[in-house]
Amino acid sequence: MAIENTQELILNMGPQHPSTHGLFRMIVHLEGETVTKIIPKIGYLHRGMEKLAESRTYSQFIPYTDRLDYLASPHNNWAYVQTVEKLMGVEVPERAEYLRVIFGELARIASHHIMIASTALDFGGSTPWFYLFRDRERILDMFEMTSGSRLTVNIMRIGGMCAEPPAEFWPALQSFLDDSPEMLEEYYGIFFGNEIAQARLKNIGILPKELAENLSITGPILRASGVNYDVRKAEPYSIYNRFDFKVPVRTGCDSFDRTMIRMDEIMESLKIIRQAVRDIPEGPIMAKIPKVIKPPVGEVYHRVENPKGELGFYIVSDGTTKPSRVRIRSGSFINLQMLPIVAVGWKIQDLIAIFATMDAVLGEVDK
Amino acid sequence: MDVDLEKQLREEETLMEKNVVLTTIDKVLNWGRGYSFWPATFGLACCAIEMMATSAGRYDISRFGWEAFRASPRQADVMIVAGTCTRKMAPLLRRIYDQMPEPKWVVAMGSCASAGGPFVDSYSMMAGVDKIVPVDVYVPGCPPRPESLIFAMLRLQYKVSHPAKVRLMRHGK
Amino acid sequence: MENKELLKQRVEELAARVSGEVKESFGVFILKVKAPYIIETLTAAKSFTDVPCDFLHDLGGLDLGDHFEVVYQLSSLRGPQLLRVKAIVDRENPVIDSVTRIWQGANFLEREAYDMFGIIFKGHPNLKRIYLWDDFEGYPLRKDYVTEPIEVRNIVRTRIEGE
Repeated sequence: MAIENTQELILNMGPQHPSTHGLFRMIVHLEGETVTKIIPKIGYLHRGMEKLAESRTYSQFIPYTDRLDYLASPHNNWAYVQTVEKLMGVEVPERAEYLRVIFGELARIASHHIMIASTALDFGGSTPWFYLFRDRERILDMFEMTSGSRLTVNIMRIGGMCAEPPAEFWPALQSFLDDSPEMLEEYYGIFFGNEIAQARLKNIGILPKELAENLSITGPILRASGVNYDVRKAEPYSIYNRFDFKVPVRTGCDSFDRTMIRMDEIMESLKIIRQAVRDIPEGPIMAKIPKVIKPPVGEVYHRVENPKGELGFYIVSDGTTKPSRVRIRSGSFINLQMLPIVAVGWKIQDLIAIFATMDAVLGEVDK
Repeated sequence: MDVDLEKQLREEETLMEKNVVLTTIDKVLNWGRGYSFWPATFGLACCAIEMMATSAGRYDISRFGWEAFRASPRQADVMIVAGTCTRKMAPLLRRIYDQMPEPKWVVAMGSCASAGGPFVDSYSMMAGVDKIVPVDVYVPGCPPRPESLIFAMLRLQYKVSHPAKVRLMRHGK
Repeated sequence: MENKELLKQRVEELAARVSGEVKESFGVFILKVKAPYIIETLTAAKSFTDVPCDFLHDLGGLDLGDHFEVVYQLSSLRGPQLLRVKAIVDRENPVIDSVTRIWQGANFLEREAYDMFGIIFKGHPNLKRIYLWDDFEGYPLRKDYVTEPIEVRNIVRTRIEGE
């Protein structure tokens, strides 16, 4: 018999809480341990990027985009510089395009490393944390060789790349690629094969396909709900139409598939990097662009496939050196809308699993 | 040599053989504090990822005895403010600082926490956390490397174990 | 190409019905309509025959000095069609119908546009500031917003209990 007259408990989580991955706050209404309502509160990291863009020149804004999704900063650079290039009609040299693909896919792997590590840490498993950070450091080393910075790399310029990778970059990349199958094997062993992890993830937080489409969900979460949609295939930007890779799709719609799809994506990214390393031509890495960047009057919307979802930039130019409006469509921000809908009815510990597998980066959510 | 001094030295030597060291209680306490900080994980933005990297395998902050990162401010004594503090977050940051037990120290990690960084002219920014909490060590960088954070913590250790010297240093001596 | 031609035909039909104008920029059709027609336009765009634009990518405000615009980026998960719908909103009285009934995903996006531009979305379930605190004055992304000097910004705000 159900217990009558239970009192509703209102629990405040965050903004400073280890399982909220940054400054996210949710007010959770509980009936016993069951979640009945979630009120998400964001904005604790809102830095006003879109306003700052209006007072910076086009090139000056590139470092700011690093701080959007700081786990995969080359992708943010990429989305922004490609939007400006599209507006200006700049043709990027071949070698720069290949380098962009290599760095972009490396960043995707690094970002998924953190996602898997932090999901494991949220369940109290700290071993995967150390293993995945060990491998992530190797990617950061490669970023550092080229750009001089580990995390916020600022590696792309309008018209090309910031620098040619040094000689020691290629052996480091090759050894990373050689070791990667072994690494992936290890992740399966320490995290996905674990009974506790499976019990905490499987059949938790079902996001049906129709709901995902209606909520404008993008990225791995959408693909884990059985929709085969990837901007790299649907609207191939850069040189993605030259590579042979699959778009991993899973139909489980649950937290476990949302985690596993990241592993599949790491595998596909490695495949793309191998092809790019094989095909990369010699040549310049910077197009001829004017010293002062002054795109013509116009507006353009361009999107790329970020590890978290679709990252789109909508730039309106008024013909001066500064943009009139930069609108950032960030994947995590829109994906966050699924939390109050999907997590209702689950226990409080499942809420942590659902939030962890969404892989929201609060820098991107709050802009 | 003076007979009295020699006698004193000999006494100290015999004490040393019995493993007895004479010192002040303050010194012992400060020594202990400096070698076992319990930092509060106050990860706000990008710098938090570098703070995590510091605690992970390669940089391994536990070599220095500071690996006990605590989520609860009540169990922590160093607050590493890692990242951008906005005006919306500022009252909460102060509240968490107030909840920490004495003695407590603050490390401002990164340009944003030190002085506002690249976002200083934004409408929602608090330019530097030193407007709300007393900061002991500032770490420049956007974000600082893990080595920078370790160096900052070593400076903090020096400050904690030699308070008098640091006080003199502040007055330019 | 066939897809694009079909889309162009559909968009022009729709534009005639809602008295909007069609432009093309970088291969994307831009349909500009007045605010009262927005629900009709987007409902029709969602159910275009053969080329449905049924996925809402983005929704954002735009300040053009004398008026605001709300920009909707539409596409589809099953085809290459892209459409940008712009709704002209009056600056003195910025009111437009909410599209949360068509796409639930517009919820946060409309709250953001309200927060940044002060555009009021009629029929939104919870139209509150999303990024900034409740007692923030002004709408920062409007062109006439003046950022407060740093001395004012550095004064710690007192937190309202229960916010």
